[in-house]
Amino acid sequence: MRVPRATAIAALAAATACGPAARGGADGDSSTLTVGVPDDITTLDGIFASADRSLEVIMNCYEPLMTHAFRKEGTIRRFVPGELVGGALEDLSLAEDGLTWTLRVRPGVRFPGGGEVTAATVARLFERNFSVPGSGGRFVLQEIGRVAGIESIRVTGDYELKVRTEERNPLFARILVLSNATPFDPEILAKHGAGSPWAETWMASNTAGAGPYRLERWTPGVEVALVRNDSYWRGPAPIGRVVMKVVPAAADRMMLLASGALDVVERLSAEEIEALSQAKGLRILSIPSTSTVQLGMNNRMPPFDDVRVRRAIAYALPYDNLLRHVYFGRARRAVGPVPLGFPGRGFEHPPYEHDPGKSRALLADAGFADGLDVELAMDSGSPDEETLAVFVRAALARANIRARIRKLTPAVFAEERARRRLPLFLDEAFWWVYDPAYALLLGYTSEGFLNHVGYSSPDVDRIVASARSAVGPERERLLAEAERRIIEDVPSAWIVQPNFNLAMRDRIDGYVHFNDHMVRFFYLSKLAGDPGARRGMGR
Amino acid sequence: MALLAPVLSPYDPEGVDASRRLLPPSFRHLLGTDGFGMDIATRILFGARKDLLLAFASAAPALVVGTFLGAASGFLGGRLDDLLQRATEVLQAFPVVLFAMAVLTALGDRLLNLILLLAVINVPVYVKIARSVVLPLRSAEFVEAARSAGQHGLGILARHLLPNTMSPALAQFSINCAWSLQIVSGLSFLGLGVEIPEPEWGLMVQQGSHYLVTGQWWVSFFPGMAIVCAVYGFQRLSAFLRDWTKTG
Repeated sequence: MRVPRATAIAALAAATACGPAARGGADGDSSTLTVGVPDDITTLDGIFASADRSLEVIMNCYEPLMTHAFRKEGTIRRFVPGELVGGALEDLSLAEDGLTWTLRVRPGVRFPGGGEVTAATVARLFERNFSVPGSGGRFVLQEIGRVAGIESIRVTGDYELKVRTEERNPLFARILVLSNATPFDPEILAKHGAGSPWAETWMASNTAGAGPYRLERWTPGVEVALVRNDSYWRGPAPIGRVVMKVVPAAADRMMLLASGALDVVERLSAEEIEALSQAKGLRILSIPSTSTVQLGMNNRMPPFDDVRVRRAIAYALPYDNLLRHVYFGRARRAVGPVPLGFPGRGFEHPPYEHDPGKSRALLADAGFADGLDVELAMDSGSPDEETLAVFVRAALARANIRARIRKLTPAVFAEERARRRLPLFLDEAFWWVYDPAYALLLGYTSEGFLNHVGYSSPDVDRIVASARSAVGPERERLLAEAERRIIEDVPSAWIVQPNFNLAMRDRIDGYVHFNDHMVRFFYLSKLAGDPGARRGMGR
Repeated sequence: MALLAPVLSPYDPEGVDASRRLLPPSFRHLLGTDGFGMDIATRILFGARKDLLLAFASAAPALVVGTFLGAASGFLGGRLDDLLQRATEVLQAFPVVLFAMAVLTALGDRLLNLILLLAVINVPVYVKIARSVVLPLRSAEFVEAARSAGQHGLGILARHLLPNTMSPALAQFSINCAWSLQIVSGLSFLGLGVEIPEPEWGLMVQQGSHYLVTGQWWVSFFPGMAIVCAVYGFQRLSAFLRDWTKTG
């Protein structure tokens, strides 16, 4: 009576292959890559972008100042934690005073229009970060990079400039991989500024970068088309055009991939990846990541302002079962506020283990011997979280914690979370900058921008502030101490670090995994003939 | 069967059991299990309680309020009639699902809000039906006779006119229940109204739709069939009530 998964996918794929989408034939066209994505661009301006699709297009159309080094590990190539290499910059060095950074621009990095990236271009980039009102780039440079303003930046040659930070700050180098650190063509901005020197309106829906691709067309809600930049400094990309089709339903993306109408599919749940792993002609990548799924508890809201209640919740969760049944093993157990895999994370703390008895005892001690009624909020846009919420609810019930699940639309969830109005919520934390200090600073200090649970500990604030400017073993010691204290206070229950999952046709080769989970299309190629025989020919 | 659900099924309708995930129909689980290991037959039985209750709870207030307002509107005429007719037309002009989504998003998708919303949406149809029945009767001989006998407006309305609206209004009531059931299921499918993991047919169809691609058809098929059967049942009931009130 049961239809095998692979048969069902094949049958549906055959049916889908008769449709108009498949006749265009992603599979048969080696110069176009068709990618299925769940959502659309919100802006293409790197100093404002935060949504995945916006960042993905920016990272393919602009060249960041720095990027992550990568090397082959097993069958895939992935970034090396903590090892940065130049992008638009050739070299980055810190003077003996520990405050002055010398940025040497790589000669020969050109925009599609022919202009070259120079020290003046990079200075203009920093100036735009500081000048556009409400710029997220300004926040990153000032608060994380500790660069006071444009007066801290000085052009010292055609290809050299110096940046001075307010204090010793290893994080400065790490923020140069972000979307706000991507040089733009000043000539294009001057042309499209329409009265504003920074062309904010134009930049929101166009690209002006020196990356391997440039925006060809954006049809909101339908697709984004990128075309190769033939003057890219690393050489032209193997694939001439990339079409990112917006297909919101994961089931539709799965079918289109199986039918060959899509080459690559992003953002599938662990369950969907598990189903696809049995289908023929596909390649499934499931790579350990540093994003952390956690149960946030509002530390300023009763009953979660009581550490005993927070610990009771942490002991109520069946971590191994969740890992096995919700993520099908495509995840790692999360152990604390700093994700596994972060460079400099040498600290190991015994994690909270599943112990309903201990959980009930802690609740009784906190005055909730009859149990607790709570509301568990979740983002309806996250593919795995609905399943996770139901399993978490069942686990909490065994510890006498009665949870009512409240599904919120992504926009409402984001707003309620930012305003710290959610008492208990499932959340996925992802740190753009690969550094423990960044995670602790933004997520766990009293004034942290991403401290959605309202956690506040003067000791942790003080230790993290000291760690920011420390280097070497002292920095690691301070960060480990801060993490130990946070784990004891358990402001959130850290559940799992789900893998980054990507499904693609087996003739797609060359994938390189970066820490930000954005696919760099430059490295991809389409194999002709037998995929198995030619694999490994990617750049 | 909905009332006897706890007796008929040995399973907890919200009982999560990862070891029983996505089991096909069998003697142990007559309609199979879903992605959480919950027994689908049990959830359909318990879901009937919620869906039928929601359907009745939203259609009944609309029947009472709408019929009274429609009868009063037709009997009294004048500005009240104009006002009520325009108000119902405005309400009916909104696309129902979009209107419901907007209201639930603004007020919160609680069950009580859903019932009130459906009741309000259902009112105009009863207003129109009752008014169309009362309008030709307001100058009928038995109404004039009642007036001559000294009865005042409200008495005439209650004793002589409202009983005449019962037959078409009751026939409409069961159709309305079916329609409410479809709206509740539709909204649940869109993620509004009923919270996971409560047993509700529309929500079950939505959760099962993910598995159609991977071959687990039973997860959404059986709840879908439950909706079809319930809607068909309401329509048969409507036909029966219409015939019964005519002959009665």
